[in-house]
Amino acid sequence: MEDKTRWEEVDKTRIEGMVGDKTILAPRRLVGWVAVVKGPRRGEDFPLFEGRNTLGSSFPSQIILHDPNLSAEHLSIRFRDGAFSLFDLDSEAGVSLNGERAFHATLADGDGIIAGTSSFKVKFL
Amino acid sequence: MKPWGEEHTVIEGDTDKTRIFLPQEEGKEAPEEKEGPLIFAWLVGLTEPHLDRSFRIASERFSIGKNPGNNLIIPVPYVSAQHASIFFIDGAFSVDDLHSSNGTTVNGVRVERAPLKDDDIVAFGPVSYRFKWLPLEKEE
Repeated sequence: MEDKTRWEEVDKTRIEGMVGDKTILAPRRLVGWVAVVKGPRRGEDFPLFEGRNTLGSSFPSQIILHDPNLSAEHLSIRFRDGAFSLFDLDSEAGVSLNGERAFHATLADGDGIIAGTSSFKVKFL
Repeated sequence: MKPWGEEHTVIEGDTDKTRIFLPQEEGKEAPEEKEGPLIFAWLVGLTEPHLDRSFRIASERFSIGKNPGNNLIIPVPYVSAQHASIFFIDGAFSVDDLHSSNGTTVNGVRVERAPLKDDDIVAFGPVSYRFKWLPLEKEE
């Protein structure tokens, strides 16, 4: 039988307790936003939480921009140990950070990211 | 009515560019044409009842008070019905106190009207928020 469980990295500091065999996780802390300035979701904002935030065109991305030029899981923005970083998740169209192709980079407040036909900025709390 | 769906650019021959709109997906509504400038600013609660909650300021006038109908409703005593307004004028934010009983403060200083910048702490009576703003360039 096909194993449908999806491996996910769990931040152990978020574990509040157990109910039966289910782990109860504390709500993740808000650490910033993604602000869409161009593309099908222009004008919308999406929260960024502590840990890993994936962005793409469809499930299982956490931030879904409905941009046909994005891969399903296109990129991730991670907040860990007080720093933000950007990862290209082997996307077809690639990721551009402040005008340059990026695969893995450290993010600064207000940085501009282009992916597919969407462009957006990151704002840190 | 403009057919709405995913927008694509089709290149015909070498130079002709035609924009086509694919049929709209069922149940998916066309986004409203947004008027006015694109504004990305937030108030993040530092006290109850809005601790750790964030509220987007997306319009040029953002009202705060106890009454329903305000953009940010703070249902606690010591907050006036129409307590304050935040304005975005000529590319800058400011907060106006609307003669509230318990006042509005920016970084602890009571104000009638004051400019707001990123990371300022603004309080309406006993309830305080961190103001966050992502300034955009003109062409955006």
